[in-house]
Amino acid sequence: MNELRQIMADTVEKLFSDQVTKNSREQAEVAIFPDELLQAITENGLLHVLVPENMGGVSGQFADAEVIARAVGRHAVPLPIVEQILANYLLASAGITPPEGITVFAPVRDGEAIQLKDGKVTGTATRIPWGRKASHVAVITDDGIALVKAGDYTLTENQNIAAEPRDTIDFENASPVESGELPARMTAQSAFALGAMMRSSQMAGAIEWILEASVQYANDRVQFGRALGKFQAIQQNMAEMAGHSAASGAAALGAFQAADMALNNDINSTFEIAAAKTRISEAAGVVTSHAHQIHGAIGFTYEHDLHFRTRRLWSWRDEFGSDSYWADWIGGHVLELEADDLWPWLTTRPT
Amino acid sequence: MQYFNFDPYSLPPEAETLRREVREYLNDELADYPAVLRSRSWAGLDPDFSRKMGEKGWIGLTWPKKYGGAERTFFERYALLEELLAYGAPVGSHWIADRQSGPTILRFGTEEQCNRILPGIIKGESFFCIGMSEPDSGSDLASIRTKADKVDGGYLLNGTKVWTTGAHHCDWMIALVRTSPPSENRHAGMSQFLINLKQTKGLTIDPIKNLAGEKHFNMVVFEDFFVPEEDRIGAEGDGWQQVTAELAFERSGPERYMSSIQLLIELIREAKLDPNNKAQEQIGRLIAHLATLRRMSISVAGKLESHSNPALEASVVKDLGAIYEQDMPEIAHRFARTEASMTAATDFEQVRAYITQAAVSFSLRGGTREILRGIIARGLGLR
Repeated sequence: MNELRQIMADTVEKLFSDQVTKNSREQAEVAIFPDELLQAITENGLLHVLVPENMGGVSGQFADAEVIARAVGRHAVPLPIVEQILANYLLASAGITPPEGITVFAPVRDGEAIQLKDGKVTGTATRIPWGRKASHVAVITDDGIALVKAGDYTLTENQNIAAEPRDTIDFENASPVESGELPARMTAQSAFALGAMMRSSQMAGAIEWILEASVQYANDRVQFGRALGKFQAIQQNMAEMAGHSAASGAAALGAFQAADMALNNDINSTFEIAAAKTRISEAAGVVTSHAHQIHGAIGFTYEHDLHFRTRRLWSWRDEFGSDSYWADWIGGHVLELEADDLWPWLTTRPT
Repeated sequence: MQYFNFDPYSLPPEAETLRREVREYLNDELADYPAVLRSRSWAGLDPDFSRKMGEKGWIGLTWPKKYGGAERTFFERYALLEELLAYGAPVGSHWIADRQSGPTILRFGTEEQCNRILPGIIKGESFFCIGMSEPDSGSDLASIRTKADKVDGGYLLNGTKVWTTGAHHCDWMIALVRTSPPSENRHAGMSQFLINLKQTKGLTIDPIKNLAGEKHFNMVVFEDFFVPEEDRIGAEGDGWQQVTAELAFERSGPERYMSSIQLLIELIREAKLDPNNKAQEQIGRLIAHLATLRRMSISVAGKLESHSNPALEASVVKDLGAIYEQDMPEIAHRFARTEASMTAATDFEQVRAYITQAAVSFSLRGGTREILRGIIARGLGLR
């Protein structure tokens, strides 16, 4: 990790450790959000990490954003952070300076279409993360990206398993504040994939936290006169969790690094993102299962912290394409190759 | 809290250059090599092939030039190994010497031992096996009973080593034996020796047939077997510390996730014939795991290159890798439309038959799943 990234990691870690509390996570589940924290994050420039300096941003790399996304997952931060980072990035890519306030990102999923026709946006975008918190929505249209102001669309509230807002937005001849074309290398699917990339890193962060909390609990909790962690059966499960955690971290970082390479080279990073989302979504199932097993009944209570991460993992593994979705995508790509070309192809991919 | 360190590395251009060279060579050399033989992976034996590897300079790639090595990087070696495994090249004869015996001699041996032994390994003429397990000492390696008693000019060995892959084809074994009786400190009193397997007096090597009918591993019995003083590796009593380092080498390579790759290749070939694409998603999952394991394995190669201890991270990759290799025949079975057999009409069913049988050993050899997870649990601070 370079020095700048380390500084950013330390800043984010401190900010979230100090300000994201159990209480703030609980409050967010009944729609009382820690807006002061969001203000602090905004003032730190974290949301503009991927925006060029000439548009008021930091001109950071995706691998810098990974540090933030990982921390958002570790701390289960109940705010639209990665969503704003992405919205700001996509707008800037289309030459639009991100507006003040909260801008979230509305991807287009397979089978959905948002049209921009005669300067008006029409269509339905589903499960928009943090839609209700937004002052603007950056929506991917058949023509590029459009920035639409809150109030110029109809919003229906919905949520995920972790009670994070996942809202439906109906655009009906909405007049965008601005609209623009995405660069040629970007498609609706690659924008959707960036969402999967963010969720991959958030999941890796949540998994890290869960592993640490489980190790801590195993060392603290005594049964049969010994700490749980002294039992081989427990050690074996914890080691399995640790393997999945290590793989998740490696896969997540790999996806972001590939995305950085895609900006400068003639590669498409969708494979690394797909691999990360698939691998980590699978890990989420194993890790949540072992974590709850070791925590016993206390981990099944609302009172205990564990569920803030496990419920997010159960949601995030579905979001922006589940492991089934992305595995099928990878499989489709690989089956277009000759079987004997599998290895030569794989070795062209960045590591 | 960072329990492990899997820093990412990109393989340098010289590694990719070597990769192309190796690939071109293997395309030519192994053009007609049957799929079912490829599926034996690094268990496939062919001394002639190993000699050719030696001629190419592809054994002992990272070792000092003064012994005949090429002093190239661990990243280049990594790319070389990947290509050999991807092709299912019959590398078994020299694999252990290249991977761990040579490095053990280099690190702990005398200059005389290096001069005497390493050039033969590098030429692909001198093959090694591992003398660790015993009939009563498997995972509990520290409980070994084979002992070396000091005599004039050397030691007399008595005891039995088992599961010694390739002993009946090899020139040398590196054996871990007791040079002092067991004491309070279980890890004390052991030493490593070079065992000359061509010296027949006091030595019996009996192959043991495995469940697939292959004779790969052996029972090796020492009865007053003489080992000269100059064939002890390292100081008396340092055996445990040395064997721990040797095991880190043993567990650190790409063969810890690539053993079943021929079945993946055949599964893809088979799936392409299925108009319903039933295996598509599952193949995608396998590729996602493969790419992740490869990234992690390259990170371990980076640790070797920077001379940091890879033991913990290598255990993580080996544990995940063995599960991956073992899932492969189970997944292939789910999509099979015919029956697996070593005499089946298709490569897919032959390879599936072989790997289904071989795979159970993948989480035993080189340290069982349980031992690896014990090491990982220690890394977590649980033990």
